[in-house]
Amino acid sequence: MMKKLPVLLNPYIKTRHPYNKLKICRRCNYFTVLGDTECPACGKSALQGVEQRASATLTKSAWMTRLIVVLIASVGIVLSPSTLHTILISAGGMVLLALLWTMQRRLTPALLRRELEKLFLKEAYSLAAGLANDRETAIKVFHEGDKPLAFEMLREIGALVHTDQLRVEQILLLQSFILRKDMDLMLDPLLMDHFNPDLVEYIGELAKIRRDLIKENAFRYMLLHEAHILKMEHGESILIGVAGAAVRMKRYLLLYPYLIMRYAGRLPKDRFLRLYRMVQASPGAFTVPLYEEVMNVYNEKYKWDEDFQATGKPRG
Amino acid sequence: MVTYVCLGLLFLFVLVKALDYRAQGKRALSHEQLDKLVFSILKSSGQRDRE
Repeated sequence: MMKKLPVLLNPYIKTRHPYNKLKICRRCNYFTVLGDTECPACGKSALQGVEQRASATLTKSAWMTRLIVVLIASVGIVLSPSTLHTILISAGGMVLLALLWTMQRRLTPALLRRELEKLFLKEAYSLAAGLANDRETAIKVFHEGDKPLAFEMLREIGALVHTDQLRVEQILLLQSFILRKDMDLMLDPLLMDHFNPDLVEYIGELAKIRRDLIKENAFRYMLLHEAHILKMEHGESILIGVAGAAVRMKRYLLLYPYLIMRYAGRLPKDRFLRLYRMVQASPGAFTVPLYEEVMNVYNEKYKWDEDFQATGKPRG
Repeated sequence: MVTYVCLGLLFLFVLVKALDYRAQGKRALSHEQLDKLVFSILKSSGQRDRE
């Protein structure tokens, strides 16, 4: 078995939208999600956020339009034959310029998004190449032995690149670390469609330290691949842990009663006590087979347990 | 005469620009659609690489 490393991971900084993580070089148009200011390709301190770039392009084009209005008005003023005409063209120019300015200001958010779309489409190749280079950099860091940094880099890339290969790489690195409760861990972005034993083992680890990360997608994944998981060395104990995590919320009991039913008898006492209390609190809310299974386990194992006595008598 | 031509030109230019801005504003993608666009660019490039 591989020896696990104690590591300290930097917290993951979430952005409002994943594309906000993208940076582009002002000099060479290289895209990256790694690094703050220095471009990994040309080495210049010229990295800027993609929104900043789009905003700069938009501002430039808006000023260009205003300048054209001012130029036409100026030509009119210079060539005007009388004062009346000068006043007329000046007033008209100012009104139209104000109108244009207002329109530009009001539509700035939409125009900014349009500019971003144009940037992504125009630089699609460079975008893909940049992120591929980022991944290669992360792999290089991994080979140099800095596993936590390699993981952090892959995690950043993973915000935008949703491939199973990248997920597997992240999971394998996570599985080489001693996971702790205080770590900034995640599960949903790492879930795949197909069965992956490393992912299942990672879910098993999370069931021990961060039950709150196991949510609907993870339960569905476990149910979908239950047969495969049961064939794994610790497959059953992982499923018991996941069933224990499902006991966290009433909603999960309603959504996945059969997952809980199958493993109710093997849940640790504290998880079963919680399940028993939830079922007792609103017996009519759950399916009859789940209620019956919980009562059967209760009667078999915990009927005389003091902790269970305070909960009250079962129905029926 | 020149004044009126310039005024007409100005009016036309601003009108065309205003219509263009409106059209662009309507066609602008939402933030979520922008995310999807980036994901699809990266996904298709990944598939091309594998092929």
